[in-house]
Amino acid sequence: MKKETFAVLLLALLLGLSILNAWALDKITGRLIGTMDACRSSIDAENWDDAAKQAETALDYWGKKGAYTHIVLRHSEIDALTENFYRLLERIYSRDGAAASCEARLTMEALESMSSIEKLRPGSIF
Amino acid sequence: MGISFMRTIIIFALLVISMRIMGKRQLGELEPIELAVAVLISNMASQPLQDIGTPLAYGLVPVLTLLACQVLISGLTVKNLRLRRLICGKSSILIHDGQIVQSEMKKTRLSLEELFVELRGKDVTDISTVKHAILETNGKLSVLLYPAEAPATPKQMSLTVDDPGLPVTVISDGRVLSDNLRLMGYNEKWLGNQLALRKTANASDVYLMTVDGLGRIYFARKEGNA
Repeated sequence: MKKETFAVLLLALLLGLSILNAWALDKITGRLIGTMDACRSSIDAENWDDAAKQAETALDYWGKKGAYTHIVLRHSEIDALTENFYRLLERIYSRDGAAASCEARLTMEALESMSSIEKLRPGSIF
Repeated sequence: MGISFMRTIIIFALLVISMRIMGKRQLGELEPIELAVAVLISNMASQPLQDIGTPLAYGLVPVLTLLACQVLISGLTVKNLRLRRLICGKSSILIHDGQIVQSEMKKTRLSLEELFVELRGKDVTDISTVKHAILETNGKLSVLLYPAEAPATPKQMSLTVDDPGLPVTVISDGRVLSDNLRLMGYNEKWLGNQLALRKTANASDVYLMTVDGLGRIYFARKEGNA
């Protein structure tokens, strides 16, 4: 009976950690999506300094969460998103409005996908 | 390189613990579900080892989940017969009262050749000597011969047989196992006398020495120490 209790507790712990991870990832990506949304608005308003500041803030925040993301995300996904941020900054620095807006949108899509994949939904499970 | 090394150590430790918790069955005695879990665990555990871009958690979480499910299912199947039948299936009687049960042969998709192979593995070459043959849920064939065909036991022949008990090793590769020696009711002095009787000066010259409950000794000197 001890082993079965241990198994149930272990399953509960793993499920709890999975839910906690989905919540934490949702918080991180949610904050980044918010920043990207603001960045996109600045791009559309051609406020390049503010757009650059927003993108740099997002990149900095993403980098700071590296210790956590490297434990729970595939490194290829992390690298792809980091590349997105740098491409966005490149477009902003070169003041290419259409490309920068598109890049911001692409980054937001990637963040949304990253968050939704970890959520316990039929679409993610199957 | 260092990451692979550390991950391999962690996964190895986890697998050893998992297998220890799951039980002592040999691979050939695994139930289908246990085999599936063993294959899945080895596959899942290898992923973060093959690709360092995959987090270790992607290997640890599935292994721990499978371990917990396996422990839970095996515990529940011991307590609940219906669940056991559902998960492990039930044994199939392939030969009943000397007759091959053809419907069970079809159901288990076992050919006659395969049945003969299994019977020969049990030292049975004449199928007419078999009263019952049962294909167990772990894939092993249990064979019960007709009483007239089964080897006679000392009891059937009204013979009294001494029980020598389990032979216990007292010297293994030159090393005296003092606990085993005491377990059998002997001491180092007795051992020294036994060695002297066999013209051996030291225990380090002995490859193997066992003693059973009747005091019978098996003695093998190390090669090159004649």
